[in-house]
Parts: sequence; structure tokens; C-alpha cells
Amino acid sequence: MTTTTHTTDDSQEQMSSRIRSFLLRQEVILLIISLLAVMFLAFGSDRFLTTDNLLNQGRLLTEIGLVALSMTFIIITGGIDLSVGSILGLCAIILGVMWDPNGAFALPLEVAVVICLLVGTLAGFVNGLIIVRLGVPPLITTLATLALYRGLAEGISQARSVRGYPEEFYVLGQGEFLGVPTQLWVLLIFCILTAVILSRTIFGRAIYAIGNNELGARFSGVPVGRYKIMIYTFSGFMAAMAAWIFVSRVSTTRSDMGSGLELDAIAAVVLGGTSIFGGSGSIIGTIIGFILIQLLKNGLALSGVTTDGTIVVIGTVLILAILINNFIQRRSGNG
Amino acid sequence: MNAIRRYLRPEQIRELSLIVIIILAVLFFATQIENYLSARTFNRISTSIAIIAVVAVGQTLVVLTRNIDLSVGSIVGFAAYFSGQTLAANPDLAPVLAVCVAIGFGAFLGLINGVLVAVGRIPAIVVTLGTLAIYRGILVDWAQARTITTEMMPTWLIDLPRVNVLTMGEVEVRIMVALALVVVILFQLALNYLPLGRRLYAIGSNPDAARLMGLPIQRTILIAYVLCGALAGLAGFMFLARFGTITVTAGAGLELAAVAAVVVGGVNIFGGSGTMFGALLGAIVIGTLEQSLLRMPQVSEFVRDALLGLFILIAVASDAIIVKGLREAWARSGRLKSAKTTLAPATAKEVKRA
Repeated sequence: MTTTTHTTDDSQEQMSSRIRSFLLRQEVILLIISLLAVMFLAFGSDRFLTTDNLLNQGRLLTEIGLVALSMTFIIITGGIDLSVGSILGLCAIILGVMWDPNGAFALPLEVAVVICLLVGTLAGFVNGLIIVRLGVPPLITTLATLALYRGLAEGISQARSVRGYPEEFYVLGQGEFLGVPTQLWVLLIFCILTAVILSRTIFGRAIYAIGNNELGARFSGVPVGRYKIMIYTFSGFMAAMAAWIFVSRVSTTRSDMGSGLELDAIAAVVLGGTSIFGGSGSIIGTIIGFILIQLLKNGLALSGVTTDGTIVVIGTVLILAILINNFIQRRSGNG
Repeated sequence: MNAIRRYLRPEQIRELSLIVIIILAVLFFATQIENYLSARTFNRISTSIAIIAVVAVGQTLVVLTRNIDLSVGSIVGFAAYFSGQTLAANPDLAPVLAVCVAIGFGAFLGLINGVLVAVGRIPAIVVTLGTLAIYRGILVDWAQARTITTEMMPTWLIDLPRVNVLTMGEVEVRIMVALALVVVILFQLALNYLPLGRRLYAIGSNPDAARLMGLPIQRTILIAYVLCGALAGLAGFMFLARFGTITVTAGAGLELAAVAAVVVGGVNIFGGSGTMFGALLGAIVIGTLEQSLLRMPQVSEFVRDALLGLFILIAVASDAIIVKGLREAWARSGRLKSAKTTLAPATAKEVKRA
């Protein structure tokens, strides 16, 4: 009993210092920046701060959001997955080709979706297998599979697009549930799920341990290889989920879907305070990260900046985020 | 086996096996493509390889320091477009100056990368992934959907790819191939004999030790990026000369070819080891595969990218497995030998063997 009260005292003391350090955390700084960005954008365009526009942005950010969630796990282990955009393209094509009533397969839509998810999961599993079992660095592996999966998507699609899906398929990408876009509920569920897994389970702690010291984690009995394969597989699955939602949202499939998605996802994760060297980061940071990225894209589009201009800004934000973070850390290290 | 171990290091076996792979690949494509084993094929493929090789040399400099440059494809494209535009505006520009424009422009983009990595202390992956998108995005904006075409170029540039340095029968060594070889040899010599070259290895193999030794780490990494950018700029000029027509997507995907060439060529992606000749061999492997697939009538253009990606993956993966196995075999034999000599005086037999 005495020990229990002792710990509560300790935790109360910790609480007050925790609140103080809380205000200086990257997530909070980001949240303030987001609010400032929202205010700025609201002044810039009267179309921005409308419920319609904001809910519509929610639709657009789901794909980046899903991929960024699984990317958080990978970056925390010190890895990277550049192939997510290509996996999305491949899965979208698979979904279209498997369903296409005029095509060779003409499967029911439900089966086509399952195959799409399976292919994405498999693509992620292959990444994980090569990285863990063959010992090829994640950067090299996923740079090569970036080309491989995109090439497969192009090879399967033969530059044809599939459209004309049945009406009920669009519920996921264009429908609403309780007044909120359907895919936002999906994103919300995955946000909660991944946040709980990362911060409240042994698996989540092991992910941080791998990122901090892989050899140490291995000696502590963490099945490093198996866990790494699991998160790359999960990344493939999330890219496939994003593909499903993407196809449902834009009502068509093309092989160039999702190209450049890796930049957005990595930018969101890094912006959210996850260290690119691994070992630290959080899901809540990533959530703020991808919301901020989407707000930025929307604001730029509303003020008439082209898509390529937007890519330039996202790239700059990615670099600036780390530059500022480095600066803050160096300051707090000195002080 | 022992004889082999004595004379060859695992890295040298890798280079020998790369040559064997190149020969096997050429023989395979010869059975698949008509008139493959002709001087004409050599002349064409060697020019493509030259461009990859020049980019790979720059990439090697950066990878040796434990960094990476993913933006080279965008730098090649931008430098090609920029120098093409400059030449279109000033057709009387001296050839040497035109090359300098391309190199200087590439070096400038490389300098931005270098400052962010070395001074800003931002991880190389993030910086160059960002600048890969930024440079390409600015190029698209700058070009405004205008394409540089052959008609806009002065005649000397159009004729440049067909200038030969050496002709043996029908086999021609084109000026761009010779240029690439000169670049490889020069940078190999620089790596071996210049203080800067040795510093690249020192920083890559142990940054902490390099810092304690007082090596100028920031400056060296910065120079590596500037040189990498400059070489990408040179490759951009070669690209312009070879194709004449430059769109905003020029050079896209070259980063994959260059990184693959470097990794296959035995440059350690974690820094500290590798040679320019290895990178050249890697460039020959990747370039031969890419260009031969292009000429295979059985392979549709849609599947080509997938096959190239697959080959690169197989090459990198088998390389990782084989070299690891070889190193272990060497280390084991080395350890056994040293263990015996320390425990007991070497027998006559062992002395003979050693």
C-alpha cells in the first residue's frame, strides 16, 4: 500500500513538470502554427472557412493520412518507405482490372476490393522481407520497389483507365455518414487504433526501442525482424486502403495514381515531430502534420498556385520543419 | 580456395562477377534481339551508359560520406533545360562556356543540397527527397510547358554525340563515352591521392573519429554535394546533346539508375568504402539492362519499368547476400589463422601456406 501512495505522489510531481514541458512540445507548437495558418487562410479567401470546404478537405486528406499513420511506425524504427505511392497506384489498377465487367476477370466488386487489399499487403510484405531477410537498406529497397510497383501498375493497366463503377461503391469516397464524409470515419478509426498501438502496447514500445537502438532491442528479446516485416506489411495495407478510397472518390482508376504520395506522407510525419533518425515521434503529431499539409495545399490552391508550385512548397515545408526543429533542439540543449 | 582468398578481397570478387554478369547479360540479349552484337548497338548503349556513369560518380562522392542525393534526376533535367535555353538564346555561345553553364548550374543546385545537409544538419534523405520535388516543380513552372527542341540548338551541339575519339572498325568510342571515362579516372585518382578523397572515406567510415581528428566534416560534405551537383549538371549537358529535345520530365528516374549503379558497383550505402571503377561497372550493368530492354521487341513499353525495377531489386538483393557470405567466409578463415598463430607457434606447413 505504501508503495502505491508513494508512486501517486511522484506522479503528481511529475504532472506539474509535465504540463510545463507539454507547452514546449513539437505537437503543441505545431497546433499553434496550424491555428495561425487557418486564421491566415481564412483572411485570404472567404471560401476557406466554410463547413463545405473544410469537410471537402477532410475527404482529400484521408489518403495521405492513412499512409502517414503507417509511415510513422516505419520512420520511428529508423526506416523509410518510398514505395507507398506506387503501391497505391498498383492497388488502384488491380481493383479496376479485377472488377472491370468488360475485362478478363469481371469479378464482383467486393472480391475485387479484397484482392486490392491483399495485393497491397503483399507488396508491403515483400518490402519488409527484402529489408529484413536480405539486409538491403530500406531506402534502396523501397526506391527499387517504387519503380517496380509503378511499372507493374503501368504494365497491368496498359494505359487504359477503368470507370463506371456501381453507385454504392461511391459511398466510401463520396458519401456521408452523420454529416461527415465516410472516409473521415475510416481515418478516425485508424488514427485511434494506431495511436493506441503505438503508445499503449508492448509492440508500440518495441517500435521505439528498435528505433533507439536496434541491437539493444534485439538483445532485450524484441523480435526485431518480425516486427519490422509487420510494419512494412501494414504500410502496404494502408496504401491499399488509400487506393480503395481514392478510386471511390475520383470514380476512375489510372496507373499514375498516388505518384508523389510518399513526399506528402513523409512530410506529414516529419512535420509532426517524428525524428527521421528513429526512436521518437507520435501519432498525434502525424495527425496534426497531415492536417497542416492539407490546409496548406488547400490554401495554395485557393490562392491560385499550380500543382507544381504546391509540390515546391511541400518540399520546402519538409526541409524547413526539420531545420526549425534542429534549431529549437539546439537552443533548448544550450539553455 | 585459400589461394583465391590470398589474392582477392571480397570486393574484387564482386567486381569480377559484375564483369561476368555483364557478359552473360549481353549474350542473353544477343539471343533475343536481332543484330544486337553489332557496332551500332555498342555505340548507342555506350552513350546512355556514359550519362549514368557521370551521375553515378557524383553519387559515389556523396554516398562515401554516408549521405545520399536523390535529387540528381531533377538536377540533370533542370541543367539540361537551362543550358538548352541559354544556347537557344545565345547560339554563338562558345561550346566550352555552354558546358560551364550546365556544370555551374548543377553545382549551384548541389550547393543548396550541401548547405542544407552540412550546415543545416538536416538528414540527407529528407533534404534531397524535398529538393527532388522542389527542383522539378520549379522547372515545370519555369518552362511554362515550353519544350527545348533540336531546331533551337546550334549545329555543333547536334553533331556532338556523333563525334568519335577513337574508331576501331565499326566500333566507335564517342566523345561522351570518352568524357565519362575521363571523369571516372580523374575522380578515382582524386579519391586515391588527394587529401579530399581520403577525407571522404574517413568521414564515411567513422564520423566521430573524423571529428576527433579535426577533419573539416562540414566543408567536405558540402564539397561532395557541390561536385555531385556539378557532375549531374555535366550529365545534363550530355543529355541535351544526346536527345536535343528536352521536356520538363527530362532525367526523371535517373536517381534510381544512379543509386542502383552505385550500390551494385559495391559502394557501401553506409559510407566509407567503394571505388569509382565499381560505380562505373554498376553503371554499365544498369545501363545495359535498361537500354537492351528498350530494344527488345517482346517487351512492351508498359512492362519495361517493372522489369528494370525488378532487375535492380534482384541485383541489389543478391549483391547483399553474396558479399555478406563472402565477407563471413574471409573473416572466418582469417580468424582461424590468427587464432592458430597466437595459440601455438606456426607449423612449417602453415608458414608455407601463409
